[in-house]
Amino acid sequence: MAVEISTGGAKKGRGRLWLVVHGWLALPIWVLLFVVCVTGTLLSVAHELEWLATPTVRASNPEGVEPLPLNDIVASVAQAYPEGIITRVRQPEPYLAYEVTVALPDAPFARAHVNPYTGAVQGLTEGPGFTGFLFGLHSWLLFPWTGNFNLGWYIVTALGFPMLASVVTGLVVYKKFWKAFTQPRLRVTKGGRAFWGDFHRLSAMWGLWFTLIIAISGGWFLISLLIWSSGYKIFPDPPLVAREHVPAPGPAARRVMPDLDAAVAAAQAAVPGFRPSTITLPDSAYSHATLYGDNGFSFFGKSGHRVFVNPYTDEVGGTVVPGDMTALQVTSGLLPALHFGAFGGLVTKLIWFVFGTALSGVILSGIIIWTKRTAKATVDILRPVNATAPAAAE
Amino acid sequence: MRKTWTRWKFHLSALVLVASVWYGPGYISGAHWADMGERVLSPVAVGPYRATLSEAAVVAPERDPYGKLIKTYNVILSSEGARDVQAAYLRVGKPRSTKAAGAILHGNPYRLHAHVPFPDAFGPEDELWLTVETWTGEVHQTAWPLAEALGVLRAPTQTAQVR
Repeated sequence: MAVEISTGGAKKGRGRLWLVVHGWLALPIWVLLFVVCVTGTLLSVAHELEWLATPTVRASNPEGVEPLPLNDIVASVAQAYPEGIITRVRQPEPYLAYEVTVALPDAPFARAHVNPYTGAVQGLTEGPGFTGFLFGLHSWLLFPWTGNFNLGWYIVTALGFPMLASVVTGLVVYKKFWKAFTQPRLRVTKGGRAFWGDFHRLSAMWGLWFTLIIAISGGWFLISLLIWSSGYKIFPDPPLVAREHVPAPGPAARRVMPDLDAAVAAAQAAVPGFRPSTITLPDSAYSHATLYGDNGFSFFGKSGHRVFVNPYTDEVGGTVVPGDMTALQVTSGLLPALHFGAFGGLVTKLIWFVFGTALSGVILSGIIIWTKRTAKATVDILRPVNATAPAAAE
Repeated sequence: MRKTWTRWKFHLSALVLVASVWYGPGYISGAHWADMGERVLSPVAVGPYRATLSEAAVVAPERDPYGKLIKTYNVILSSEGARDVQAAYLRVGKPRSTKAAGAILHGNPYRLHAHVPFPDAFGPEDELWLTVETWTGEVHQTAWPLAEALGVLRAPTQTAQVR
């Protein structure tokens, strides 16, 4: 099929111009955009990929026994690493082993993988690990952090804006875009140009909702780092533990490991139905343990609710639940959860993986189409400009 | 040549990924991942322990949206210290008591940090005091002159103080 290029006629010319704008939004950045999309897609199922590849992160239960209390899980790690100080306990999914962060002198962020049913320490990850590597690559391209500045973070999150503009201009160019739903078409026998064109339009339209979520939440990550850098606290600091509750220093006093099962019980009394997914232990003698969780399905994700528990008295010192949040807190809770797609467990993770793959395909097919056609259209559009200002060309 | 340029200039964003490859090994090995901060000073004794001070970033104290002049410092305590210390604090100027020892150090026990309030006026001779109190009740202190502890030593912007 020959493509006719003509700038004659104002309406037609405008349509062509939109097409060129649409192409140019992704064109200069497509490699980066593609890598960020592919790593993000893998990241949506990163824990599951680890589960497939490494038995140490699995929550195997061949005996079919009940899960152990949390106190037994951390005791098991404390026994395995007497030098270590436990700072966090988390279980992202029921089929995954507990990930217990144990600060070691030479590996402050090491994570022990503990079987929830046997308490066995199945492995230790000292560095970022597979998921951490992917996360760093996807989120800030592994650029170094200085304080709360990271150039890579701003480069990646800024991609949300051309992505959003691509959606808008794409809809303008497509015009009767509802046809992608009412009369879906994927021509496989009419040559590469027809196939990739159909694929691009079809994937883009069926994945429109997903692209909007990713672009908007991606752009939000740029704004949220700016807010964070300014020192403004979207979620106010949790209260400090009252001085009279903290054990007075003395010959018998020492660092105490909070009773995690009592903390969970206290959280469940404060937030009915509360299910913890991550517990961060007090990060000073005067701070609360923070329990992150949900109380049923929530678009805020499995860590959208927070309960602060006094480690010495097991009293609840405060809660952050979606119902009480300000608009800014809702935004900062909801958008990341929608970006990651883990809020519905394996089901939503797989949906995010499929649509992430489709979005990566949209970017790749866009470049293929451009090399096959738009290059010519661009040249034709620009020719009159070049003709009047030859010195400025290229 | 010209044709090559025309064709390849649209793939140039791949060059950003050269930086990722460059930083990748350090991130994996943990050099950046468990980053200590910038301008890491030589460890000093604080009682029986050793403390290593660094700046989260080499910047002057910045006024936060709540009107406070704040700078974030990192402190690494030696391993025994990380376990023995009940609480540690950083303060500009010598604290009069352990009850007002300044900003509490918190975070990972081997990568502590504190958001330290600064007075509106300070100079190179002012000191950043570290106070550590152990679970057994011992108090140890040390101090760095700001000339040493502050990479960018300059007076805070005056605009915020005009009333």
